[in-house]
Amino acid sequence: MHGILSGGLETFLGLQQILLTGFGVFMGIIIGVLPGIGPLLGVILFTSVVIHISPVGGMGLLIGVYVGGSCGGAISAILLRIPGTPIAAATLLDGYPMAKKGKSPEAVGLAIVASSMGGLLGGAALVFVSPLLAEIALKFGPPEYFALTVTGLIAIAVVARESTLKGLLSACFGLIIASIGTDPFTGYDRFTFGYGNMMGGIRLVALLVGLFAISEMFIQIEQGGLNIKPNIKAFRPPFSTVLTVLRNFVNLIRASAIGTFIGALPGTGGVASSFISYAMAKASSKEPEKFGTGMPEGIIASEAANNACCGGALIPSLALAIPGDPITAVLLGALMLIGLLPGPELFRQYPDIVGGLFLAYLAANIFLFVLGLLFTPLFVSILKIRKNRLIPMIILLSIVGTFAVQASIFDVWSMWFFGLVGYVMRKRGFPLAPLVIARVLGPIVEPAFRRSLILSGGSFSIFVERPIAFVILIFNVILLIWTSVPPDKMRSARVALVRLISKRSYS
Amino acid sequence: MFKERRWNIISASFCVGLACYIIYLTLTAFVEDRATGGGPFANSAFYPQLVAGIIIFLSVLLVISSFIQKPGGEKPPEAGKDETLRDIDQPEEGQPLGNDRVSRKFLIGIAFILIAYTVFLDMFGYVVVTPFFMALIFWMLKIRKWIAITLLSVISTFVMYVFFSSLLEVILPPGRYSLIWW
Repeated sequence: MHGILSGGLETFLGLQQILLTGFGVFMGIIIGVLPGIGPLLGVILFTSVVIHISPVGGMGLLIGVYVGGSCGGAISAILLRIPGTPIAAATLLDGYPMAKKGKSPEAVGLAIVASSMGGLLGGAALVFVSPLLAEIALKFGPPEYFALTVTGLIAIAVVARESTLKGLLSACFGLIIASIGTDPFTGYDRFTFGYGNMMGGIRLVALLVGLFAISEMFIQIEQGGLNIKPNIKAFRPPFSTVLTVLRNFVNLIRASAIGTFIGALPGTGGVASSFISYAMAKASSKEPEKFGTGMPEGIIASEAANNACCGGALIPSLALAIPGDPITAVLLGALMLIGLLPGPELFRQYPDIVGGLFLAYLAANIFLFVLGLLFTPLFVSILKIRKNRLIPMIILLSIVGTFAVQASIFDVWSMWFFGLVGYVMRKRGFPLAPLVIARVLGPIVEPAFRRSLILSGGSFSIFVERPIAFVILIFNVILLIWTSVPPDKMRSARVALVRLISKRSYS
Repeated sequence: MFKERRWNIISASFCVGLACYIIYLTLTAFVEDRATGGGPFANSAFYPQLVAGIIIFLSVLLVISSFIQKPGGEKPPEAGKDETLRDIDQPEEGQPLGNDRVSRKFLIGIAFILIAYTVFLDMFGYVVVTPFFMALIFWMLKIRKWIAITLLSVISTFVMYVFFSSLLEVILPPGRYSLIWW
């Protein structure tokens, strides 16, 4: 680990890398503040930029957007009762009542400080745990690795809120899309229909921008409210919020630990972690009945958890190449775009770059603290931007960004195609996240699968004979059965769990 | 409920159709090109065939599940009295700010403009086409002040050009019929 960090210092400590990380955080907060945009869209829009700059600088930019965007949603949640991102939904429970009491500056300040500190604690876990995990994973052979990547694919079906079956179908289409282009083993061009542009496969940026950005813009236009301007006055949060967060040290540590742990589980994500942390903070509070009326503890718990979640989600993503959520899937895709294959080999071959990514993540959280508190008046003013000014600019950025990757108009046409596909899929309840994760994992899944069969001479028994692979695959079967439970039954189980925690708080 | 079932059947049929087409390609074009012979190393078709098979299996399950689903089973449960529980069940995600939803025709109109922009972008280049396209989109999205439209169109085109062309050194579409001054 020491070697990774010292190597990271060499790659990260440069003006370009530091400035790009700071710029990423700044843009991430702006993107997070705007309802309906969110960190995922932000990371996607900036992915096209990554290939034109240094690996650590580019990834620092994306990590900055991820960290900033995860916090920015809290500002609109607190001021408008509209979470800029779903992960900020728990923050509004106490944030909005606090704002209604005239304590908006305090509420926003608490959200920024708690996010930053939670993120740093999640970052500490990332630095300590992921090298150990990568070391274990280095001992894995193709069958184990195949089983592990399948786990990542199935786990994402858990987040498919609409339907597990639709989530799995979506993942299968992602695998098919990933198989388009030159076969890595034989060099044969699969499903290219003679188009030279498709020999390299469907470009990840065109796919991502189409599926998420374009479909989201059409849904935003469809929802209306194009010309509405919220009436909000800019303010600056008081520095005393730092002391308030530090006084809630136990709450902060607990929420960060929950966020990191849940973030590291593929498919769970920030929404679950922030609500569970909120429920835990309520359960262990001396005044649980005051939660929901503007308690600082509630804001601290949810915000610390959802930013610690980012660090947690990066652990399996970097160490095992299993993305915890769609954002980390895009980050992995961006790593692949710059020619780096995520996973244990990355830690062995490029420890300096891994260290650079660790430092970029830690620096992003420090930037979040500084820029977040310093530029709050600007971020609050951003809320006044009307949708009809914003949407055309995002569409233009999507077009130019997609074109910029390969200077190819074909990619722009692919983007429109996947924009239509994304729109229809969302309308018909097919989740997009499994498709994206499968597209990113596809180039890892297929070689691992075929190498396993090569090792066994074409026999599937290799997945049963290798104990680790077998255990992981059995776990996958259990996971599949679990995800097959109807959502309403799962929902009642969740509600029962929260009721249990709430009852404990009154006893 | 019936509408949902109908859409599930349509979606599943589409998925089966696509999967069958993938299998058909692997059994025809792949065979002609001799990309299916040999073991796991040489067989380019086996993996897509396997995934297509899984798609067919899942599509059939989707149809079956939509028939055995209880009526009204897809409706979200009633929100509890406890605010915490209500929000856990239904996190508020990107709520619309207003209720002036636009028609599908309007969306199709926007889509046509975007497609036309891509065609003209390829023909005449970024600098020439983009300000007009942006102005049209701003106008479609109900901005009616011409000064605002002009300023927003020109500034957004310029900022994007500077960012990509000057900072990242990306050559933006010059256009196949580049104008004399460009």
